[in-house]
Amino acid sequence: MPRERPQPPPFEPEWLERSLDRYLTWGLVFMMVLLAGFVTYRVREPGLRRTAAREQQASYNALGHELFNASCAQCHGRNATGAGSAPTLNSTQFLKTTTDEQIRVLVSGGVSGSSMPAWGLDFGGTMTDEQVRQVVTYLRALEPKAPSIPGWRKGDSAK
Amino acid sequence: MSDLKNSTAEHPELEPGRTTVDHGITARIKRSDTWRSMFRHAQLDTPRGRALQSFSNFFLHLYPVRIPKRVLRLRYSFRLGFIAAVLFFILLLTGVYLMFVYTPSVGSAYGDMQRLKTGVGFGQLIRNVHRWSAHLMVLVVGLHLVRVFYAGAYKKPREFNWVIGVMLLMITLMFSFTGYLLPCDQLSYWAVTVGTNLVHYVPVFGGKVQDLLIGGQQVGQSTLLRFYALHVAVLPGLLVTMLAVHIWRVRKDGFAVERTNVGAFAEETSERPPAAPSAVAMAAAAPELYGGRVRLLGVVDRESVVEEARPVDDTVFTWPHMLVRHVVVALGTAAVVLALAVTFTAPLRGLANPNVTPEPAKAPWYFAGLQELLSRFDPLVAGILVPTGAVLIFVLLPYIDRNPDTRASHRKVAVLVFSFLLAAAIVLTVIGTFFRGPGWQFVAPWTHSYIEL
Repeated sequence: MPRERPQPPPFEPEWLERSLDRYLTWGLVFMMVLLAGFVTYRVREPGLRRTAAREQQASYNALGHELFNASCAQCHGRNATGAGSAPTLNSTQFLKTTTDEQIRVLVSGGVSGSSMPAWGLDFGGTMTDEQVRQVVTYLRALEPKAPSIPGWRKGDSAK
Repeated sequence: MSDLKNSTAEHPELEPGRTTVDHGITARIKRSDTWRSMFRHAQLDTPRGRALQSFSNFFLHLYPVRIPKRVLRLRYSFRLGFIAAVLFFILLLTGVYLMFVYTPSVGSAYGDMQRLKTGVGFGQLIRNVHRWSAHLMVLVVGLHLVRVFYAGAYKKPREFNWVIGVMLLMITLMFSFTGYLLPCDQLSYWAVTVGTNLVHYVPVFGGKVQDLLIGGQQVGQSTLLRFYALHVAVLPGLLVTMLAVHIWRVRKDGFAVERTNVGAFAEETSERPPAAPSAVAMAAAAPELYGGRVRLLGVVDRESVVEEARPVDDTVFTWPHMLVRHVVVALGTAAVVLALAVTFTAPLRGLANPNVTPEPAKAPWYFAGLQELLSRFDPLVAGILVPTGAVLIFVLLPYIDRNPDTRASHRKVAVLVFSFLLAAAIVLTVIGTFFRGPGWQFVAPWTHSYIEL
């Protein structure tokens, strides 16, 4: 049980104390709003993130597709289906064995000893990091429907 | 033993209102040397205790121990200056969080914005808070300026603090404008392109200044890096320094504008102790008291013969009255900003593309008035003379308007001129923000809205 403390005599007008109490009540209300705000956001966050990721995936995929056909199709074929001079990228053999990070490094840094140039700005190419990531996203999206092409290294097309 | 320890706790006679010394574990902790090395004041709720707590604490030392009672009223200042400072603090905190994930490079800035959305915990929320606080800060700082004008609070001895305040408004605008570019989306690219094009109209060195600002022929990587450096290093340093001077001056100038009793708040006058009734009046009211006669000394006022001109003490303790109000207002500001951030997502348009001009290409809303003016008048007049003139008039205002009276009825010209300019600025901004569509054609906001925030 809390001990009754001796209180000093009041030295301020009552209206002042009352208005202070009013403010303290408002303070409590605001704290509740803050708490509710954080909780609401935290609860909604996973859903929002998933939606945003899906949207980003779709837009990167489209942009990557465009970039691929503009810059890469000459050697790798339209829609990555192979053109005979460079590996066919739309193939299970390539996509199953290569991670996103590896593709990113290959695209931005190029492959020495081959005719694959470096595309990343850092390596004297024309693509920003974002654009390289878009190309990677596009290629990765091909994986579920990619055909099996044993001769993919020589640029064979699917039969 | 240290001096700190034997202040009030061991000398209860120093505090007449206090009768006992507390025992028990909390009391012992609070009396320990360790506790007293951090919290030097005893927590006594007596007039002396409150004063001690106030001036022996670094943070409370920002405030005077007592402040005029009228400052407590929300209506006195609407706490606009304080709210602006709170918003700045929120922006500082959220800004640091954003700096952790942001790279000022054209190639990756936009991707970072998307990463905030898809992969950073609380990322989008923090960005929303930053965005809405920034807009609110421009608004609140502007309102603060308007309030200070109408209160006449820029008059002697506060002239220079007004000048600093106007500069703080300029810094706030620059903050908002430089921050606008950082997401590198279509909105920021074109808002900044439109904004920096204004500089081009400056005679003689307009082109040079524009080159310096954007670092090239068009907004690009060097612009981004320049704006980023300004936004996260130069402007915060400037603003913190100026804000410190601003607040320090407010404190030194007495926290509140002196007011003659004519303009005093009703409460203030009603709380004044009633004048002692004169003996003549008392005799008239109660004839039986003195038998209806007035004695000689009764005619003399009861005040001492040598009257001291002492102002009525209308002050109250800052702690807790002002401090609690400030903390609650800060909480309220944070609550409003968070509610906005949870409800509305900060816009992110497509990646900045210099080849595709969005229609309409609008400047941020606080420059929309200027853009509207530009569409009607010669660029030299609308883009340079008017804004420069306005800033100059604002800065020099306390030195032009030397009338010391703060009552509106005694400064009609100043109030009228200011109100007219304010109304013009608001009308232009509203038209530019809400009523303009593609090709800067007139559009009714209820048919199609082109508001860009």
